[in-house]
Amino acid sequence: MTLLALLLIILGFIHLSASTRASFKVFFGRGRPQTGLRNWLHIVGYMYLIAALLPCMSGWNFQMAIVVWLGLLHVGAVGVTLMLTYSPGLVRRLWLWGCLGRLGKPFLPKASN
Amino acid sequence: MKGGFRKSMTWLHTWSSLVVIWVLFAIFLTGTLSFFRAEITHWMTPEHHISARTESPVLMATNYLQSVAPFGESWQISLPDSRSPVLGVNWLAEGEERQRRRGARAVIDPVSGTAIEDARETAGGNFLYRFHFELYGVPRSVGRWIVGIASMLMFIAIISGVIMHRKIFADFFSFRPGKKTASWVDAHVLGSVLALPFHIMITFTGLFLLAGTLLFWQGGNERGGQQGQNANRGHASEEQREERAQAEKPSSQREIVSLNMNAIYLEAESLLGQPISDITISKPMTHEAEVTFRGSEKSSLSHFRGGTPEVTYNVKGELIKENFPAGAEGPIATTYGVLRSLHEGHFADVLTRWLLFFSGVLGTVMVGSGALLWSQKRERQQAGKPGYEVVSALNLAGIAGLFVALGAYFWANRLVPAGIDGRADWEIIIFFCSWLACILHSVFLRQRHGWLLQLAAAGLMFLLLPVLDALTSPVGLVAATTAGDWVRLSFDFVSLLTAAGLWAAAYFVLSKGRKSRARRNSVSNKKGKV
Repeated sequence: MTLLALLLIILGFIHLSASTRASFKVFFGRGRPQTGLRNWLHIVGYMYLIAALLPCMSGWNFQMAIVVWLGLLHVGAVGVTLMLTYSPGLVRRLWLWGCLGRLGKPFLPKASN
Repeated sequence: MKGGFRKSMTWLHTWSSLVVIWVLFAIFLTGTLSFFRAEITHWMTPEHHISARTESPVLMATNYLQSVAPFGESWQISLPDSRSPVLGVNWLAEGEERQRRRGARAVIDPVSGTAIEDARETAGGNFLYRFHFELYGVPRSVGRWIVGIASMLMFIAIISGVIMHRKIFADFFSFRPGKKTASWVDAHVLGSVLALPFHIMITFTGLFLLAGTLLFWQGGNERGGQQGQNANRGHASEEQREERAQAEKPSSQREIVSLNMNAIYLEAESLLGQPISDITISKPMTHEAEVTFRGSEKSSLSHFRGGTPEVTYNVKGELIKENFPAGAEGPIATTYGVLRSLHEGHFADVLTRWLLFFSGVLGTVMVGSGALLWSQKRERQQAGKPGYEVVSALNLAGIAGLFVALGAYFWANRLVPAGIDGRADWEIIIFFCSWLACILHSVFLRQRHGWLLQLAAAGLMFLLLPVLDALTSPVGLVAATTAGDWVRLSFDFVSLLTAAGLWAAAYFVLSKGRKSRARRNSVSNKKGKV
């Protein structure tokens, strides 16, 4: 359960990191995030983070679940940051296999850059 | 303090934290270790290592208690759990009043079934715990003031830090190593922004716990923040006292009555639905005996002490009382309980404790990198000026020196002979002496060599701690693995990780020195050619 929650959190943070200018290149090769894409990635990313609450809830009572969830958020955020620095290939693979946010991209209106 | 709002916040952030940063580093580091206070004490009492993971502990404990205090007023058995894997018993002898201490205590040797004697006296995790909120060697109230003021400045630093950070979301995931000042900024931001909820929580609750001390006008209340707790405890114990008074009506004559403990134990465990951590037997071996089983998991965050469910059986094995507490009574008690247990991690199971520890490590990284960032930024302009030199000496002594002192503390635990008087004090004396040595050392050698030497010394001590542990404990590390003494093995593992971190830092200092020397050489060569 804990691992599932941690995985969901990591995938969520990968969405959020994909929307920042600094690490946009890791995922899309070139360019910078446009508003539509950025909002979409934010929404999906936050959904992942919220979804990670569910496995926490099943393992602990409500109050404890929140504490565990917050603790895992810290671990996940640091994990994603270090992965982006030292192993961007792994992040890209996780992005290709586990991130639903990727699927929404073709449907977004393309803003001229 | 001229300039815009953000600029003044930067000024505030820098100076409010700099004045207390070394105290904060020590508080964060020892406080983080305090999440594992009981575990550290277990590691530091090697005589108890043989007691890990006893089979049929209840039977063994009752047999022992029957032999030492057959007609005691009460027995208490603390079963091995995830935090302290030893089997401990307390008892009150016949006619003995319950004092503040719980009466005689012993830890049982599972092989012989007798008490382990001559366990060393150690300051253990308690010293680190006490040090992190009242320091040492100064009157309690003064120590608490200093820590309270430091945490207040810390709170200011957190808030001003959030305001001054221009691109808090854009830079959320960025860490750029090898870029001098930018890397230090990133490390500082990584430690602080990513764990911001924890930092706000731990600083705010810490301040709250010390609030009683900081409001100095309430006068004469030396114990400060503990007042609320004492009030709570007093309230609880009054009720208990009444109950006890009723229970302690003149008892019938004593005769040996044996209990079918195993059957009751299994029933209690299934009723509680969780592992049992404590068993209390009042009036053992009489017809009036009552057995209370206490669970190990708290039902709510609002209890900082207690809050675990209990069931009580009488001598016939009938359930006579059950207590499944839902939460603390009243909003004030609930708030106090939640804030306190969040800070102290009373509710935490193994995973949560590690999560808290991890966040604490991030906090330590934040404070340490902040201190180094200050001198890194000013190295070019201010090197050689007294202010800069004082800060760099204190950085070295406060960061690397504290690791040396901690390493020495754990080594002292195993090397100071077990029987000598005031042994626990000796451990503390060695801790401070090695810290003092580091301070003196850093006054004279505060540059690269000083860092290299202290980091390497601390790294070596932490690297060899598991070896020392294997050599000086009656139970070897392989035997500890088979017995499942994970508390002790985790300590050794974390010590190896610490060593790795310290060596990595030493390597960083070394390679940085080489680079700058190479650059200097190339510059002078060019000058020579011209």
